[in-house]
Order: sequence, then structure tokens, then C-alpha cells
Amino acid sequence: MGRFMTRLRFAVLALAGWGLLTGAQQQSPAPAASKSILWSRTWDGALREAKIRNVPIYILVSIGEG
Amino acid sequence: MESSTLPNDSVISAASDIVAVASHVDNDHKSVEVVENGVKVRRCTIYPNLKCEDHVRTSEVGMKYIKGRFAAPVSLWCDASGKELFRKSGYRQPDRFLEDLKEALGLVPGKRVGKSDYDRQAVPLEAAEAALGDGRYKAAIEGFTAASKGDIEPLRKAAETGLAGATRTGQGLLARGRSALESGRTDQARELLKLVAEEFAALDCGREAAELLKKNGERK
Repeated sequence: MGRFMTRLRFAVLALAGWGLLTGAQQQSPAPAASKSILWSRTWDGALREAKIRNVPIYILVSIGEG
Repeated sequence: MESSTLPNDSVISAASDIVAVASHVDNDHKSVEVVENGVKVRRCTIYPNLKCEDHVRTSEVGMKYIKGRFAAPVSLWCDASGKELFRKSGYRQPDRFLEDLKEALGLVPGKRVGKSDYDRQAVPLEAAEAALGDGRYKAAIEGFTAASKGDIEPLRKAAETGLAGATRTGQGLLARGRSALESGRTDQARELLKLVAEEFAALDCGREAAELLKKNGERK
């Protein structure tokens, strides 16, 4: 009975460990370049789009690792 | 910018109502290789739809508005002509960013053109302009032709202007090819005519070049 309980505990711990491992893999962050707002490639292109669509222009002035 | 803001779903969705420009002053971060439309390309890890060269090129934009020393990041909001409406210093969390965006939209009243309607015509136009700059005339002509069929008049006019420019280039090359042929410089003529026949195949000059090549080949 004692040996059975030890094996059972080991099996439960192994399953829990596996669950944690796979769960951690699923929750690992997506690559940094996966998604973001869309940025204009050129200033002239941004101005043209803003004028035609009649929308505001947002300029993010940043340095380093944003 | 706050690292939680740019990838935020609400921010991404709302940003389709504005035009965004990254004025990123330095280039000390990484880029990654991704596959887009079956082609491997390098993309910036901060601005994922751009190459780092793109935001390096637009890095000077912020300096049009900010003079001297400043504490980064700064969010500049402008009207559709590029006139500054207001600015916010420091990191903007998603909820604050969305408030700023709403305020900017309120300061630019009037009828708008949706992002998807605009992109349907602008994406082929911009691809054509880039292709023309690289000397890829076939791709340029395809893009200009597609963009010239859209409903947005300024884009249609830009596409027609681009197409006219490509046509002039093709006609010029065809004339040089014809001249080379007439003066007996056969190798040069074939090279030019082949280029025009392949790259300008959708235009009259391309078809003429193909005909000349065919006749010249038959004569040989």
C-alpha cells in the first residue's frame, strides 16, 4: 500500500510538472515583432494618406528600446 | 512608448482611424527575418511593419516639431496637413493613448475615408512607386495600373502620372533600341529591346519591342 501511494504521488507530481511545462510553453510571449499599430514608411506617404482620409497624424518621437 | 501600448488590441484597432509615423532617432535594436507573401524580409522588432531603414528615414520628422533637447518619448498629434494640434510627453498607457486619439479625432472634423478603402488603392500605388525607384518596371506598371482603377481621385491621378512616367521610360528605351538596330549595333539593340519587351510587356512599347525582336530574330 505504501509503495502504491509513493508511485501515485510520483505520477501526480509528474503530471503536474508536465502540465506546468506545457502551460508555460503556451503562455510564452509572442515574438516582439508579432503585432503593433501600422506605421507609415515615409513622411510624404503619411501626409498623403492623412489628407485623403481626413484623419489626424500621430508622430511618436522615441529613442532606444521604446 | 509604453511597451504595453503599441501591441494592445484596442490601440491597434483604434489606430486604423489615424496615420502613425515613427520618428525613432537611433537604431540600437534588433530586426528579425519574417516571411511575408512567401518572401523573406527583415522587420524591425519595435515597429513590426517597417524595416529599420524606414524609421531611420522618418526619424527626422519629429525634429520638424521639436527643437533642442527633449525628454523622449514624445507623442505629437497633428491635423491632416501636418499642423501640430497638441503634444504629450512621456509614456502613454493604452487608456491614455486612446483618450489622446479621441481628442485628435475631435479636432479633425469632416467626412473620412476608411483605412481599408484607402489601402485597396494606396497599397498597389506605393508598391509601384517603390518598384519604379528600384527599376522594376514590370511590377511598377502592374501597381500603377491597379491603382489607376480605384475611386479615390488623388490616388488615381498619382497612379496615372506614374504610369505615364513608366511609359515615357519604355518609349525612350524602345527608341534607343530601334536606333541601335538601325545603326547595326545588334547586340546593344537586342539587349535594349529584350528589356523593353520583358519589363514593359503590358504597354504598347513593350509589344513593339517584342515584335522588333521577333523580326530581327527571323532575319538572322
